[in-house]
Amino acid sequence: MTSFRKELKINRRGLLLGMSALATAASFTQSPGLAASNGYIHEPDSIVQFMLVSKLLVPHELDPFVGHKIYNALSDSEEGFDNTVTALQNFIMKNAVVDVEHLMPALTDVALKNSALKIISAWYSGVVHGKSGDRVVAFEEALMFKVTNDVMTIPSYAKSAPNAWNATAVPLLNMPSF
Amino acid sequence: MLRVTQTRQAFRLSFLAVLAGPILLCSTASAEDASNIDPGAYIAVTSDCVACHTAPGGKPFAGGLAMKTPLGTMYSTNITPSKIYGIGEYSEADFSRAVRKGIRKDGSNLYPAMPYTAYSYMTDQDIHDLYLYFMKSVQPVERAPPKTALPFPMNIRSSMMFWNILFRNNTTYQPDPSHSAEWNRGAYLAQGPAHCGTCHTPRGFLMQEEASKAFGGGSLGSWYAPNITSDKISGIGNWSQDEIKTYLKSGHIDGLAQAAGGMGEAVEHSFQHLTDADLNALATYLASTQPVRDPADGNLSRFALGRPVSSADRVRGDQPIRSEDNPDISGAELFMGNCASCHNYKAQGSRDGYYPSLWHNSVTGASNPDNLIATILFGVDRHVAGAQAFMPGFGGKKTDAVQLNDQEITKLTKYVFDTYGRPQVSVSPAQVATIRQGGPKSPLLVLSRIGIAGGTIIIALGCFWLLRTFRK
Repeated sequence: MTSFRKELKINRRGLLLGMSALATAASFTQSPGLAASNGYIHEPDSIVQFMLVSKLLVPHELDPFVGHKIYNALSDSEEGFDNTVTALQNFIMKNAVVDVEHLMPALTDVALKNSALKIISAWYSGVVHGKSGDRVVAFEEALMFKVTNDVMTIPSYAKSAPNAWNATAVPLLNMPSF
Repeated sequence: MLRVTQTRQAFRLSFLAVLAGPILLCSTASAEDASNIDPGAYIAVTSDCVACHTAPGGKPFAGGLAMKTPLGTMYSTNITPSKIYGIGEYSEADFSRAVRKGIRKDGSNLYPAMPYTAYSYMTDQDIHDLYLYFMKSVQPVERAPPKTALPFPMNIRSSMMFWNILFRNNTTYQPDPSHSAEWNRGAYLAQGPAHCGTCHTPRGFLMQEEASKAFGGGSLGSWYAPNITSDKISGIGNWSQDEIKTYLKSGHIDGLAQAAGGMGEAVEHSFQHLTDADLNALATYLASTQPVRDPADGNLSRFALGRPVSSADRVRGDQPIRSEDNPDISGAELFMGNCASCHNYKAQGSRDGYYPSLWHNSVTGASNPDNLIATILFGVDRHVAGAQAFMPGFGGKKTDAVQLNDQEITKLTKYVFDTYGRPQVSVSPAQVATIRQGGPKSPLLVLSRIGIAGGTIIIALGCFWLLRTFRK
């Protein structure tokens, strides 16, 4: 009974994952104009694949524009980044991995694991560490700020009126969803 | 603040003919609860006399505020009980005639910058209380403010007599028995002492209020007093009475509207001090006004447009934002460089609402760009209940730290309309220049001069013809 439920749950999650992948893919194919207008005329497949892998690695709302920038920066700094993403994608499919918590322990290939961590790090920090230096790919959309965005503002943005920084702090509640 | 004050006046002042030195009006600069002070002081606050009759940094009611109008710069007068420079020699009848009829003690006319057309509705009792307040409670100031000297032919004050025949109301407020006492109180306040229509009713060719479009929105020089009729699209018909009341009391409602310009002053000096009963009365009356629809609004209310989006990572990321000296700088870059630090990168404002969101905001949702341009140029400075709401200007004054030129403000304004408000609004550098210098000039000045010149030529020709005929 238990295993049946677990299996059902996995199937449902897999279904949802597939649906979100389809939706993401659809959104890319529908907005070539957006990508083009921003100067990104990359092979859509590789971006789609990168976003799919990202979705599993980072289970939050991901900005496709930031995705483009991370993809470009990592492509510049990592040899054969497309192949790495494909390898990750294949690993996920083959092992029917449903979330990042299951992926990391299962990922025994150190190089692949490091690449996955780099992708996660880029989404959260907004910075890609390259060979010739670090590249900022996002600031406001960097996910690290979202964790506290119910009470804190992103540095350099006003929290309240001038001299109102010392107002009584709001108690922390549940982590915001983002 | 000076600018802001000027604009409200500006528009009051935009009229014809003649005014003079010391004339009247009202209120305390102080902020105590008006309900506990004497009735005359309360009426002075309701009528917001202090807004015009006090110069920035000057003594209350001593006049001297410069108001740029389409017909030239006017200065408010000293209405303290000084016998030489103020209204100390005015009898109550003189006072009443000045406030309600626009005629000063020496018999010459006031310009309708003084909203006597609205004050004409005031009751005898209120005028009496107001007179006592000015004579007994206001400190005389022995100083003459600058004299108003409008260009010819607007300097001929007696021409106002004709204007008064056409447009002046001559009876005090008559209660409408088909409405409640509260509604009548609201109507009295709105039409009379609080003179809402002075700014919010559009002006006709001769600068008269157009009664058919009462409260339909009027231009005040740099600023625009929006439609406050009960229309659900163009007006405030979707506001609850509580919202109207809160707005009058605080000048700020999250995700709806904020008071700047003349309305910021009106809240600061007048509305925040009114009693709850009077605010309720005003809200009741405003909810019942005749709706006026502006076709330019289509079917979109100015209060609900726009959404939080960010251009931040699009103008910055691998590339640093370009210097503001760059003539090719984009509206998005100007926004990120000048506005976003307070209004935030999605223009969502601060969480506590101190900095308002720029979407769901009456200024960016409006069909008229004046208020957005004026806010960027002149900023906001509103003091309510001991707290200040402040935004710096961006070039409206020489002392502003950041000086954006007309081209930059055009790009920035257009970006904000496109991204967070009503994209159909167009903005040109010429519009920005006009608002920077205080609003459009009235065609009346030129037309009247042409008329006089034409008349002179006709008379000259007539004389010439007569002479020739006579010689023959």
